[in-house]
Amino acid sequence: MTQPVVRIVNLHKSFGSLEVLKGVNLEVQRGEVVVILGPSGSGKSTTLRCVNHLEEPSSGEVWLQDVQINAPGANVNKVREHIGMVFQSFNLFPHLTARGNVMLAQRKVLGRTQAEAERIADEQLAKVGLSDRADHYPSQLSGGQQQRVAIARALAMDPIVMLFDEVTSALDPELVRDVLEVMKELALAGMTMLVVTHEMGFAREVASRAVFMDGGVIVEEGTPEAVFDHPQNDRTKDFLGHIS
Amino acid sequence: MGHPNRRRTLRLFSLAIAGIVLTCAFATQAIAMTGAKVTVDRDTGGQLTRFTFAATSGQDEPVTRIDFLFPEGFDPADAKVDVTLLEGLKRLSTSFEQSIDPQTGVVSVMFDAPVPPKSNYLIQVRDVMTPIAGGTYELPVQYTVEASGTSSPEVRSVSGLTFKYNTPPREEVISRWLDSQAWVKMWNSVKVLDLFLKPQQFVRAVPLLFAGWLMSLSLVLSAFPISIMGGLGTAFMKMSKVPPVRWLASIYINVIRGTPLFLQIFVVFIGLRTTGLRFPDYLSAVVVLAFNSSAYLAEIFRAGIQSISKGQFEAASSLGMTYWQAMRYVIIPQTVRRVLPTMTSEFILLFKDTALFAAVGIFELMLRSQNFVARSGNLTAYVVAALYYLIITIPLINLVGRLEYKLAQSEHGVTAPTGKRRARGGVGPLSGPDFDATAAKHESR
Repeated sequence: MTQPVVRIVNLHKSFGSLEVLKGVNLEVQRGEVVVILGPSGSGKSTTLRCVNHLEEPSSGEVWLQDVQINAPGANVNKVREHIGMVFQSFNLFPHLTARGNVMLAQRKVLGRTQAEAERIADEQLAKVGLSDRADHYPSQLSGGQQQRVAIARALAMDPIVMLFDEVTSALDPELVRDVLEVMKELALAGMTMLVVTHEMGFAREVASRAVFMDGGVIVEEGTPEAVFDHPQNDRTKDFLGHIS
Repeated sequence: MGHPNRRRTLRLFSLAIAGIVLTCAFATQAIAMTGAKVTVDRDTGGQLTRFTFAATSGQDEPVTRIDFLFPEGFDPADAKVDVTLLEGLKRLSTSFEQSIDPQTGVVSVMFDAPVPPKSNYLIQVRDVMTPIAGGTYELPVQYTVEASGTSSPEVRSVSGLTFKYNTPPREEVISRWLDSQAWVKMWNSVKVLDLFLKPQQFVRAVPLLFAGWLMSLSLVLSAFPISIMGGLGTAFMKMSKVPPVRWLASIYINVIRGTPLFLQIFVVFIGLRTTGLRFPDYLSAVVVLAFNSSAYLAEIFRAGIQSISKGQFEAASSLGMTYWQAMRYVIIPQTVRRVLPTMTSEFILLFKDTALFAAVGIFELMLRSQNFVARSGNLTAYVVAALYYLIITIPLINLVGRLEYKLAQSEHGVTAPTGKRRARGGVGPLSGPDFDATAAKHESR
């Protein structure tokens, strides 16, 4: 077996006296699309945010390939360059156009030239179907369009893994499809993805593995078919029963 | 070349001539009026002026008549003459008649009886209209000495009597013109208008207060850029992860915001001076203003930075940006747009606060208007000062409104219909709990 892209070992995270993660172990292989499911408060988003150190783990290890991101003295910014993240609330930079959003980190973090950054930005915006919106400001774009710009912005950094944190939850239903379409294409192109979502259809269709979390631990994991159609754990059954 | 002897003769001859001329000069001096001078009681032209002629007559000069030959442009048509004569310390009561020739500008004083020699003359010619153009003028004076024995009456003259005044400034001319206008008299007959909006005082105050306005403006324009730097620095200190740095910023901010600017001015201008530290007034003033304003701007900036959603910082971080890169390229540009209205308000407050420097003798707008009022006994200068302040503040107040509107528009999307109403209502994007500090300042000042 090759080296996993992301490896989480016995991850614990507490916010004050509240223990959110109680020992999470997870490995994501190259090209895998892992979907994390679970009721709210189960720790799925926290797990995702620990992967690029937006949350600092209380204990345990988080590895990106051969670098431990939560080791003391680790260059977190350097590691983050290789991890793309898309947020529920888009978090586009409102003072920059769509193209400007995609270019900024390329220029300042990767040190690409203006021309190169612009070429890549236009390329990525074309991929998410927003070539004609490149000069628009975020406030002039719909939620779905903003989220696709956010995906383009992350992809422009040539990440080795993409994290999606409930990226469709803030969208109107009719806009969800466009975003999921982009994510699906990305998956088909072989991108390694770790996805927290409530979109069961997407999970079933695209995921190579589904993980069910509850109470700060992974309760069940397996192929989407196995987890969705033949859940072994009672809590999984209960959860799936509630949403479908 | 001539003969040596002839040359000597010539030299002697010229010496003799010079001697005679000199002797004659001294002789005339001895018998003529001495200590003659002319003074005027106004320092600008174009107005009724009193000319005072003072002189002492010579030993053999019983004077019967004195003529003042006013130069061209001077109008003595309505002049009145006062005469005071002293013989030693004794006042002479000689009656006289005056005559005026408006064509030639000659004012004559004819004594009924000859004035005894060696008398002191003090003659005042009042209400002579002077030409407006300033400069040095000469007033030739002639006097007639009574006939004695075989000699007939003799007219002697005193020359070289000069006086000078300046051309009045334009506002002075306008003000005098206003004095003569009927509508101005009517206007001023209303007591309130006369006290607060007297046209004559208005035109005088405008140019006089202009320098003060420039001073106030220059103080605030020098201080504000320093405040922006200081405020930004302090804001970052206040958000520092290192507790002592944070405490230091907090102490500074709280002490400055918790004490009156007036007190801070006194500490610097009077307190520091008694300890022997003395800086130029202007520098001290700029430093106090900058120091004061930095504390307020620090809170404005801090609140502005913290009002940017945490997601912005996370998005920047997740793209691999460092803390300072995220600040520089993502947070600060958004903050600037957000704090621009509040910053402008702070600028307005600071500009108005320059008035406090009147108390320590900086000649800014307020002190100048105060002086003007004290001198004229009329309050119009305060109204002029108010207008000078408003010239700056009203456009800026409008600007704040427009900036808030634009900001609301850009943050809520161009299509959002709520933008305008929210901006007008003063419910800008910054009016969260974070901005209570700023609101409190508006009330307390």
